[in-house]
Amino acid sequence: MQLPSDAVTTERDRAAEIWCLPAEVSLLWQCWDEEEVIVFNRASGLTHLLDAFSAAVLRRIEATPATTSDLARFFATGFELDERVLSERVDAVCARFDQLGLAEPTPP
Amino acid sequence: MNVGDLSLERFAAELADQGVAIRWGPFTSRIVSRLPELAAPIHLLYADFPIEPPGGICDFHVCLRPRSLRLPWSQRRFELLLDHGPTFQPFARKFALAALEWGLNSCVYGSAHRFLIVHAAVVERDGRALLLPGRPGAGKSTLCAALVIAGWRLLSDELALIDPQEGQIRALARPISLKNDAIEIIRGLAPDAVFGPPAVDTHKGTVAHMKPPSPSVRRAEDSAVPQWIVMPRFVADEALQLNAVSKANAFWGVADNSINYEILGEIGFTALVRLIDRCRCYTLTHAEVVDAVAALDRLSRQAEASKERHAAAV
Repeated sequence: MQLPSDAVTTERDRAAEIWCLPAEVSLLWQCWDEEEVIVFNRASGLTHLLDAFSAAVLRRIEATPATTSDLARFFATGFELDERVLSERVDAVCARFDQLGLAEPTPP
Repeated sequence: MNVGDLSLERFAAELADQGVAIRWGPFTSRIVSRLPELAAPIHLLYADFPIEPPGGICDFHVCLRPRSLRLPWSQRRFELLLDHGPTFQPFARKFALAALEWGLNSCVYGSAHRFLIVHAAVVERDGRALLLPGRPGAGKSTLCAALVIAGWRLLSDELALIDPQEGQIRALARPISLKNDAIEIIRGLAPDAVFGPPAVDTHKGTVAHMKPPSPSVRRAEDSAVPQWIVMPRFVADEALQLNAVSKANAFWGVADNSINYEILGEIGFTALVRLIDRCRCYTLTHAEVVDAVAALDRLSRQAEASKERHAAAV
């Protein structure tokens, strides 16, 4: 079965999207241990509790905007996860950040 | 001049006329009451509190007055005005003292945003403050009263006022509000403790107020440095457990019990991080308040012993 051409384009575009912090977002970090990290978003006034992986992804995006594939490659060595699992986790975490207004995808 | 320096007759007359400006911690409230029976309990419970001279600036204006004026006096309900606006639903006169105390708390909740406000009891010993954050029913007021009887200084049984710049906790000693079984438990621990008249059948059951110790009221200007955060939980028949918790857990525990953390934005976040940074954090499950006090006394003694060891080593 062939995917419709617009769906293929959408999928390709999504892979090429670069994740970054929205312009108005500025974060304050607090890390008392490796497992739980607290981050305060000055723009929304909201505080979030992140697990170690999510915190690492958000810190990376904050430092260097990147595609989800770039992120998965970057973390491949640090987290002992299967590449497919890692890629899915990065996708899920980025989507959640988007919902929370902490990060957003931008066109390449 | 303190409330107790006035005769009850004169205090009652001023309360019903222009009101009396009573200073408690960093606040001054002008209290006006048209209920004659309220004068005696306020005069008793607030005896050690300073009165500000007439004409000064007050932070809050509190007025208790009758409603339903067509009814006979004995059947009338009353209302509490804060800064000239009505607050709760009109209440029966037997709840007047409890309504006044809730009203004074509500003044702080609603406007003291120069502090990070946490729903917590606070006591202090040897310059170190212990915060007991918790929702109603966690047992913090009972524990607070028992700690005060054991010699800790009362800063507040209800509201921790944290200075965002200095990180210290301001004293706000007021009558300790006890409910239901806690009233007799505390009377049992301190038969000489002074109580106001109990209000029976409030929405929280029976409520009675214990007079704050005079030394705590006299030290209203002395802030304290936070040292411990203990999140209490009263569970009947449960063995005592005092367990260390992660700072992230403590952060959320305190933030959840803060009145204005979100209102303060970055100031609130920074103040809370600093508070958690400097405190040792625990959860405390207890069934018997005496056991809980003993455990917290041990914490305090360990800190003092550790300070002495450090001083000797230096």
